[in-house]
Amino acid sequence: MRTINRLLVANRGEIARRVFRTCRDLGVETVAVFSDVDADAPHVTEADQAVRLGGPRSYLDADAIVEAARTAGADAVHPGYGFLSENAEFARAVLDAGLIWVGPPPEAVAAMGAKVEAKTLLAAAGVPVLPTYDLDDLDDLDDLDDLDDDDARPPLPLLVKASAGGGGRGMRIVRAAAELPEAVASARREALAAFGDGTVFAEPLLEHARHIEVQILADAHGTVWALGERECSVQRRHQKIVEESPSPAVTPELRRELCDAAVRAAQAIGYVGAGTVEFLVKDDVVAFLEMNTRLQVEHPVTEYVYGVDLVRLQVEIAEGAPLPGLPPSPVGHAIEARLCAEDPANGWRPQAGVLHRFEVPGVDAEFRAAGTLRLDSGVAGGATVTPHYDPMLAKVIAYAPTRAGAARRLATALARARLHGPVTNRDLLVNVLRHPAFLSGETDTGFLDRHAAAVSAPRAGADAVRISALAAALAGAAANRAAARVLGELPSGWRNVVSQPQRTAFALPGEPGERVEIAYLITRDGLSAEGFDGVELVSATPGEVVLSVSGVRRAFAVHARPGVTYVDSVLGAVRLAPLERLPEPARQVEPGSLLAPMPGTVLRVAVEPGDRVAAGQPVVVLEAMKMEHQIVSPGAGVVAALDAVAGRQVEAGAVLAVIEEHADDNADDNVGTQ
Amino acid sequence: MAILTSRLDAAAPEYDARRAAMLARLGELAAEHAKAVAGGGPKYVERHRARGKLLARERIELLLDPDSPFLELSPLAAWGTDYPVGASVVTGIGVIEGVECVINASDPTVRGGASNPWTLRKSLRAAEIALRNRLPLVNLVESGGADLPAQKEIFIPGGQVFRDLTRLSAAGVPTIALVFGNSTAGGAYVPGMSDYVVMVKDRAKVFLGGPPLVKVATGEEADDESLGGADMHARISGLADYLAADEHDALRIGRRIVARINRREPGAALAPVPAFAPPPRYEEDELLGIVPEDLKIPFDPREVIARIVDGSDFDEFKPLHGPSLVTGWAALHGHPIGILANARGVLFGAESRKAAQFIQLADQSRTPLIFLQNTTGYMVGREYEQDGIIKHGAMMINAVSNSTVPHITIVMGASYGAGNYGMCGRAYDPRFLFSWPSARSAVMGPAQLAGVLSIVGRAATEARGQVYDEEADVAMRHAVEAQIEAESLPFFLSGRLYDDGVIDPRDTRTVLGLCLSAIGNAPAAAPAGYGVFRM
Repeated sequence: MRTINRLLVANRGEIARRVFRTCRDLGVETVAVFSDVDADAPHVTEADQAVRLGGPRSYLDADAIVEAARTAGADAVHPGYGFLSENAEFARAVLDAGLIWVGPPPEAVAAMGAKVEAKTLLAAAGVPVLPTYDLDDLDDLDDLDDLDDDDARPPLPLLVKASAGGGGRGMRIVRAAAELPEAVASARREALAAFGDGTVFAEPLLEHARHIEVQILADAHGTVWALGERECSVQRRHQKIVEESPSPAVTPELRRELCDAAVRAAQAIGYVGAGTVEFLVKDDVVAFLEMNTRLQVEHPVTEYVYGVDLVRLQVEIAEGAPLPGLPPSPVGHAIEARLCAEDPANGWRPQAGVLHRFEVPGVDAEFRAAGTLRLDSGVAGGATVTPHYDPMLAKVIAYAPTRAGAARRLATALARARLHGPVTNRDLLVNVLRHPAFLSGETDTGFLDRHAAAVSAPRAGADAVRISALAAALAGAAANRAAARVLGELPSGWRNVVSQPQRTAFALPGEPGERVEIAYLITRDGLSAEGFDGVELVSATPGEVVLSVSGVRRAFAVHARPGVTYVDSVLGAVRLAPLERLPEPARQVEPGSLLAPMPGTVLRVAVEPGDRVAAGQPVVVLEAMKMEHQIVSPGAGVVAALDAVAGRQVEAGAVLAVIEEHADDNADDNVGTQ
Repeated sequence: MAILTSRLDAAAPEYDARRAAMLARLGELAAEHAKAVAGGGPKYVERHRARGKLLARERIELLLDPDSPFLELSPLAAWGTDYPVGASVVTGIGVIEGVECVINASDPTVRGGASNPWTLRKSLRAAEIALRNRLPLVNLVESGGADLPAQKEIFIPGGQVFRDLTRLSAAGVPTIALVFGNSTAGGAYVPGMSDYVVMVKDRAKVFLGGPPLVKVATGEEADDESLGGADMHARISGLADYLAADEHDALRIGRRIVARINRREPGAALAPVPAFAPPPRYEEDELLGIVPEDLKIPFDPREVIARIVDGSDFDEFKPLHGPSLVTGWAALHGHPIGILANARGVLFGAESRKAAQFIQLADQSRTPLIFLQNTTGYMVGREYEQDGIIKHGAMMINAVSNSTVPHITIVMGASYGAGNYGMCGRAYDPRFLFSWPSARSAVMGPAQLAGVLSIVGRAATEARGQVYDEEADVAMRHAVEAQIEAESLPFFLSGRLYDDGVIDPRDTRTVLGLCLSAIGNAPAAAPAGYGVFRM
């Protein structure tokens, strides 16, 4: 038995905080590492000690982290998830430095890290797997159809995967043979960028299967627990966004089958520590997907249902302790939602910026499976969300006796959360959690695609946006009165001769050209606002406006920041950009300006000044958060100005190019560059 | 604390009748205001808009701080004359970048914004308010100049407009001209005499003589732009300090100018305004049901005071002496005030002496005075003349005339005879004077005046030994009564600029609060050099 006294977490954000919470419970001192952009992050301020690593990518710098552990006097390293958590060399380096590695043996990590070999190994141990197609064996991918060996010829549709991958990176679906070369090439590029290893392979695409995984815990004394399953079928681009335990589709028999397979897998590789064995389940087919040799993002749902602290067990296993007694039995149902700074309506584009307010009402536990609503957050109100890391802000987990109860609790908590900053996927999560198909357990990996229209619609429809804008205007009026240097006590907008209403206008961020104009008059007879018949003003302060619509009173919480106003109500969250009444002419953006949607680097400039462009034609390609974003021309026209330069960093909102629209340009006019 | 207790019975039928009568008059007032707001009517408004221009009041709304109050002055100017109601100009007090300013905006939809004699009087009154209260004056200029057929009444006195501008500047009160269109000939001196000048590109036209006049005078061929365009004035003549891209830009620049004039409200002479002033304890709406339609029926002004002062808190001075005049101290939106209010119409000797003493006390304590008028004048009759009513009235008028604290007068009901003077009528230069729709002002009541004429006529006839024509007398009395009644009505008097506007009684607290705040920009002059005379 060894004792861990000071633990370094080689990670950031919520998982670092999660591990620290257990450390505090155990009395273990904590060491954080941080990149320069994270210098003020909560995980840094919360740790007993913190060591600077360097640039944004320095969480991948194994040497620096081992050195940090040494400098800070840590005796153990917890890798969290992502970054170096499944890097066997890093695990070895930690062990070589004489530190305790809170994770599985490097050999087990390596064995599962190479996906192709892992499948072979586990198949031999009796774990069900899908066939693997080694793409490196194909000389000419174009000739796929000409293969005459049926065994070597992959069936379509096919999934191209990075051998070293995870989290959907380096994954491509191929439905037609012709798509394969490009899919392989781009998967290799992405895998190389994300994992430093461009090896890819293919397997049959099991469409509309459920993603079901088993949590295992193995101690160094040969005991392996399987703590039931988690279903993580609701995914976007292979990234999980809603996870739960237990799965509504898993029968006791299937659970036994999955758990047995998972235990066999762990035993086959001499696994020690916490790990997850992932399966795809469709009808009678159960196929091993991959094994994650680390703590999973979604581990809290298991913690709720099994009443365990997985990090505590990880630490105890690393210290050499045996698993205590028999595995606990599951009770109740837990659902987790990943709250991400990304815009589902805009190709899931990651969002960056200042998170002015971050409040989830009703949270009764943080980083701990207690109460009924748990928050594991990497950020706090006032934080800046940078484009450098995964856009996940926080996980919100609800626990209830029933699945329906947990879904309701979670949906309402998310709906009521105050998320004032970058666009998030909150509305989508709420829509998913309230969708009849979700509630009846009809979840598989095609869920989001199938219900895209229903779940991606913002909760606040056009009417909700309008009345929220009215509330924002009235809160603005109250704020104006409160801030008035003179005559602040007089009635708002008082006139002895009434000629016209007060006017204010908002742009809708994310909907270029859309604006909401509010014209209102507050007199002793109450509110009269154009287009809002039957709406009465009950009360207005700078922070809250209560309106009565056809006799129904609703409170609108209004939070105004420079350039953006957030309105939260039961009708949904609305973001509005107040428009200046008298804008400075020089500051007005020219019509037709293409703006950088987020901070990033200009990868390519596809046009020259003076070029004719068609609607939808790519103009600039921006790289941000390891993804390529095409900035396309909004209409047919001519490139009037080109500010973007390849290789140059740009801020969000920077003008990349100006397209002068020509309505008479025909789409088939082929003069322009392509 | 001396909280007033209201005895107003809002359930009484008389209350309903009074309220109904007041509401009817407010309806008439709204209709008259609507005429002023309509400017030159739909045709000219549309034509103006079609040129991409904003209306005068739209310009003002954009110039003001959002949601701040705006008190329009003299909105009924020219009422009852041959000129349109409102006199083709909008004036008022509003807040720009936290600074109280006087705004004067010509209404180009009314005969091109040309000045008529009432336009001139309304503009001069606005300039006077700016000077006396040290409020920056912002002119929104677009005027075709003088209404030529009326030039005899405008040309010579009109020079005062430019004189006032430079006197304001000399007094340290900034003057700003935003030129939206024509500002030619004499009008060119509005930007010419202003401290800051903004001109709208391609719109402002500022020259002494236009192309035809120049051609006639010197034979030179020149176009509008080279003679007086905004671009020319901004780049060459330097008459324009700022070239605005459009009307919105001009208003934006105007706001920036006010933001930079380093204005601090002095108000040192007055007590600091508390952050929160408790509202009156009684409903403002009940102000509609206090004044009887028949002004011969007196009403208790404490019912009004209870509904306009902070917390309905009123410390009455000399409550037992001279009960026909209520005097006392209160605060209104945090501003300390003294109030003089007629209780039973007639001013006797005691009331006059009490008023004179109270006004001196207000001067001593530098407290602004509010006069709430409902007076039929000083008492007549042998007993009162022999008691020296003239001397006592003179004391009161003397005190009002020479008091150096700001005065504001509200004509609630009757304002007859010398009572109008003693209670700080227009000639006594209150900083502001507003009327309720129930007000009446004349040398005496119409019936009394007709009666006097009748008695005088009868005496003259009888002195000539003739027989007085009783039938003709009745007709004469009716005619005179009708004429005097019409000429003592608030719209008529407001049309002649004898007040600063007719207001809704329910707005009284707001109007007074705004005016008291505006007054705070100009410290009161030192009081006269005697101690308070005990009367």
